[in-house]
Amino acid sequence: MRGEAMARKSKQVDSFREAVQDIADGSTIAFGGFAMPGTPFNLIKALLEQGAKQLTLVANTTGGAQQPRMPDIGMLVENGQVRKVICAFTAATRPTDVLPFTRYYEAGEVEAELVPQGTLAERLRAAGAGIPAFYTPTAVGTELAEGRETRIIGGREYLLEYALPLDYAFVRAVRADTFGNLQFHRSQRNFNPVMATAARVTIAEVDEPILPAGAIDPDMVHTPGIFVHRLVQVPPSPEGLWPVKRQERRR
Amino acid sequence: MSGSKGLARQQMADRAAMEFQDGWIVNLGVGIPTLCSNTDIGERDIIYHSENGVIGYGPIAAEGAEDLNLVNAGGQNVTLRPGAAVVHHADSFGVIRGGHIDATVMGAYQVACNGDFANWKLAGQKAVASAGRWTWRPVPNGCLSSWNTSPATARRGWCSAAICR
Repeated sequence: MRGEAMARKSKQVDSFREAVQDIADGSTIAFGGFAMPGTPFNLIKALLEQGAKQLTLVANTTGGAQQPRMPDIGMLVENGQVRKVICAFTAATRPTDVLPFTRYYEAGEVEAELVPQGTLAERLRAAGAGIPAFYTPTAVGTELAEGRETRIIGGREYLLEYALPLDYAFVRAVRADTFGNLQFHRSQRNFNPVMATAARVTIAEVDEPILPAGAIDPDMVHTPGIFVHRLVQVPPSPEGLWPVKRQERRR
Repeated sequence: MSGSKGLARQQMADRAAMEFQDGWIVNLGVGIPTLCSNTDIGERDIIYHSENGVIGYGPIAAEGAEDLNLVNAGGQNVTLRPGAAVVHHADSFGVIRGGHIDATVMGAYQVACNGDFANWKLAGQKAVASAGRWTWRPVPNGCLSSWNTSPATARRGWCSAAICR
């Protein structure tokens, strides 16, 4: 039995506050999501209110590039809760945009480890699959590979990358049963399944009412409940935070 | 393109999409490249892949018909074409790294006339927008075509596009 995984009772908890209350200072926490879909806005908001500090946060981006702004890593940095960020973007894709996070990073007030997006996903997958490290062709020959271990395999150079285990993963799913089996809708899936496998404790915010165990066909489960430890149902807006259409900016 | 009027963003994407051949699986990156999924490709079967795990998407969704949980690489709400599939992020980059893609269209900050291009970091900048861009570097037998964007964006020195194979 690992963590709370095999609990027979429902994994549903009543509030986001309760779901994050035990998170200690210094924890490593990943947030799923790619743009709006699959981003656990409600859990991030609860973490802002909970106040844990010296956190290492793992996500694709630090957020804040798009309007309307939703709870993001940038807000946790602004709130003085973050020591380090591990992500695929420390800047916006458009140079004229300045992310809230970037100002703190450029000023040296927060650390960042930049990881190519596919390598980030694979490091999480490896952590969840018991693989301590792997070789990948990605980033070979770039400044990201400087001073790091590489190996020639079959005449091609590969870079050694290490697994990225997590204390907590925050994910968002469309549907769950009380056992924690999850389904994602469309591109809600993104990093969420691999983050769930990499974490000691995975907390899922769920769009639809939690179903009784067995209500999801086993063949249709995207993330098995053994990887999910706490569930919170997202209340209707405005109490709960939901994806909205992003506002296109003028060019 | 200096001295000429230049192309609008969608026109650039339409021009890129002319290169796609029947049966190709094409990754579209953030920015102008994602507009390729709006282009009328006629009788060609082109499967568009987005880094967030969407395989087989189509045009950007019409106003009012958006699925807020379905986006392309730029976070825009898109539609799915018949036969579409969704995978998680590790599998999505496995699709790229594993050599299952025929071409990608990437956004770039700046493109040189010899095809060199800058696409993830600006000189003097500490912060970086990496995305999936390193993943393409090892693709063998690469050939590259590129062109300038509109004068307005060219003046700002960024945001051209490139097709990589």
